[in-house]
Amino acid sequence: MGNQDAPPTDIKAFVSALERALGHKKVTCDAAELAAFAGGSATVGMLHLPGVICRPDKVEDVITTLLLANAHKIPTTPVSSGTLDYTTHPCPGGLVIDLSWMNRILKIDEDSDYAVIEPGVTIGQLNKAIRSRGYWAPFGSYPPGICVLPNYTERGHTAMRTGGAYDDVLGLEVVTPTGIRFRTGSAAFEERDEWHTSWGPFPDIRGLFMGAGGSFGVFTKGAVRIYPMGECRKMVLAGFDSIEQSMDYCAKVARAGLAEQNVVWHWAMYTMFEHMYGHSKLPSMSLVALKPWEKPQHCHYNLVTVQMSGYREDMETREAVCARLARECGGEYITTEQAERDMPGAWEHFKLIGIDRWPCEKFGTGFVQFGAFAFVYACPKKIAELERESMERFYEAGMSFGMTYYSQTVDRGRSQSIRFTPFISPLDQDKSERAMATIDQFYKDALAKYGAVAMLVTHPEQRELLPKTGGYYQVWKAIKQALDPNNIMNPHTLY
Amino acid sequence: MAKRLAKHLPLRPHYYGCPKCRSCCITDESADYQPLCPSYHYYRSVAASGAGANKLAANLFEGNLPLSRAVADTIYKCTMCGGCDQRCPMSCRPMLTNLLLRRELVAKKLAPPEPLRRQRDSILRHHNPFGRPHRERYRPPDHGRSLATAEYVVYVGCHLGHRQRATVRAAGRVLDRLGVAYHFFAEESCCGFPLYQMGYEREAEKLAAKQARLLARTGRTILFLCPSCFHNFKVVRKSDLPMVFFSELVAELLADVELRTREHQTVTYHDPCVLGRGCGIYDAPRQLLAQIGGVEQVEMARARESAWCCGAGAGSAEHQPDLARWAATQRIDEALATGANTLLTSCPMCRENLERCAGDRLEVKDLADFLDQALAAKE
Repeated sequence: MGNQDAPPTDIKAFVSALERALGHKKVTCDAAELAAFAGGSATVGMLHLPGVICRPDKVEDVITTLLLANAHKIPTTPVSSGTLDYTTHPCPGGLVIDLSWMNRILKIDEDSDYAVIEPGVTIGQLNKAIRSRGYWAPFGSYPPGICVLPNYTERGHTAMRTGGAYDDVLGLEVVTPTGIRFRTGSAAFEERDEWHTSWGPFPDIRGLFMGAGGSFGVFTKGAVRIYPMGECRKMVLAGFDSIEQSMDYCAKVARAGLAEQNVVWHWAMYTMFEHMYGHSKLPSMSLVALKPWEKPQHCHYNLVTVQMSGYREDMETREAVCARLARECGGEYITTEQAERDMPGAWEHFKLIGIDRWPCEKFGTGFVQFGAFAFVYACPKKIAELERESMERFYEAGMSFGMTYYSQTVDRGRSQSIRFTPFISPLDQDKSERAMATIDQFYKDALAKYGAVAMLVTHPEQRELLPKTGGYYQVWKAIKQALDPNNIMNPHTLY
Repeated sequence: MAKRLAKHLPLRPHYYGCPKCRSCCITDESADYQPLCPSYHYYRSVAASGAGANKLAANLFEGNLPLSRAVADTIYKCTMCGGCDQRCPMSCRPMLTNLLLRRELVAKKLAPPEPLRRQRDSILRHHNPFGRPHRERYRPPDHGRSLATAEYVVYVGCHLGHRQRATVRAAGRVLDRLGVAYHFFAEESCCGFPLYQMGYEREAEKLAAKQARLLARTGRTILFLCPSCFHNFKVVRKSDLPMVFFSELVAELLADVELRTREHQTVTYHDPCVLGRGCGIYDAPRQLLAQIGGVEQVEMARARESAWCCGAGAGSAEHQPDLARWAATQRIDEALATGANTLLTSCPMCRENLERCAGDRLEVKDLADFLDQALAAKE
């Protein structure tokens, strides 16, 4: 295994064989089409041109494509639309399987609250289909054009009460590079089309395909949890003047099971919503001049949002409990009226995604200069120290403008994610490279010092982390070897 | 190469900032996230979408991709409906990127496609894109009207002037009945908008400037019948000439007039891209229709900002007729689904393309023709 950046030599013969098998319409080597997939969906990093794009519209096409790619040893990258993952970067000269046209919603099960979808189904598409039936799904603040399954499996960031959004995948249908097609969980028994649980009598191998960016195979359908809207939906806001207070509050709220989701917003991020939603111009220079760990006079250092839904009486009680807990933790409970008056932009955003539960149309906070991010999970008790040290690190590395973060409670307070987002210009190559190097070092140090683990592989340098897992790596390599003997799946990114 | 491109493609941050979320290809929640980008959905091609334009530009910068006919073929698949510019959650400007790439391709003589090249030659030679002699451009008789007594100078546009004369006459009758003092512009020729969309910026600017100078000399408010010409002067050239679009003026004048059609009619209005997304005129045509008794106005699922392009934009009806037919057929089906028996629009190109695909399934009319009939019924 290892890095294989060299273009494949057998691409012409492969393309001919693929065209014969799938037809010309589903295969293209057009220069412009190839360029559209260069660099995956990342906004930073190298733009590697693939050698061929294939657009299957049924599982049989995927099987045929993978069998051929395996026979010709063609590096293969499955993609659909828009995650920022490194694993969507195609291998130079390799094959990209664009799953966007496998976009059917196959089933919405209202008895067991799940939907079976193909990998090209978008957030907007699923939202539309389930909303009319009184359901929602945790799409977070992603826009409607992004595909649901890849976003979930690549760890879309909405943490529900039960864990991260990736736990909202109940089961997958996968095709391995050697052409084996199988399903996981209750759907593994092919005579039944039941996807109601990820469990079954045998080991749950769904996890192999979660967060793997298609490195073990290509999923061709999956079942995702959908949730009843609830007769009452609330976003409860509280402001805190330190990250320690925020963490204390989050732990209490999460352990009591009060929230579907709670998020800590750094001041620079939640004040940016005012700009996003057109309630103010860009932050004033006096704000930009502040160090990110120094809060401006007029706002709290953190804002914590608690999202909940259910019966009206229960919601009123929960809100009252949150208000009491906020005060006990040294913070301020913020009423809806206060939020509407004092932070109209932020409230508009929270209402949109938390109460009305629409996909977010303001991805990337509306800035064209999106940047690299650093995203880890850590023990909640260690977040405060990690936050301060990381902010100083990024600040000193010159990633100061717009340096911000949000942090989410996972699995009822057992873990806490934190995502730092320095907005760097992709045009400033020196600064971009320094930022990437700083983030790579951050991952190493966060692991060594705080036991914080990266949410997913976002940079090629993170490959260095894998061998550090010892026995895990050996087992992992053995599985990869068994499923993908020619190492055709994403050979250039991780493995 | 990159340096030269940097000069000509000044939106560089946009190309890199695009995460290919493909939100540019679908409508927002008000239209249930339905298809918005005709070229992406027709060709099933990311490269043909707004995101594709951004990625192509980024690759050109990186030297990954040379400017070529293959790039040109992809770039000219866009109908320039502007949906992507409006929808992008990252505030990228994919349509503008596409336009800038067109200019680069034209400069390198790699574009435009042949049918558009013929249109360009015709514009430069005959002052219209249709290869018709300039003398054939329709200008209705004055009937005693003169510039001296006119408040408005009417700018007809090539399409109406050469291919839809009846609509020009209908618009004139509407203005007459409403007591508008107007005069058809005597020195009209192509405003340059088709050249602008093809990527011939210098020629387009020259034509627009010449027409603007002549229009300024009239000293009157310019009343546009063609949304493309209106968009060209108002938005592209940011002209300071006083100007108004036909439906805006008529909506205002009709406010105090009682109108009723002879028979009950169910109509739906198709927003032309250049008038709606381009100039923000959504309310005037609807207000106007709401004032006519006997008319039931129904909305298509994709209306206003979410309107589906008819497929004829940016010369697509000529150089990619299959896409134009497909997009128009989709629109006709959408209109039929509302229960409407008439599909109205304010753009001669949309009307022509939609009419061609509607057959006898649905009546397609220009708003001016519809109003003319409503006013005639009153008499």
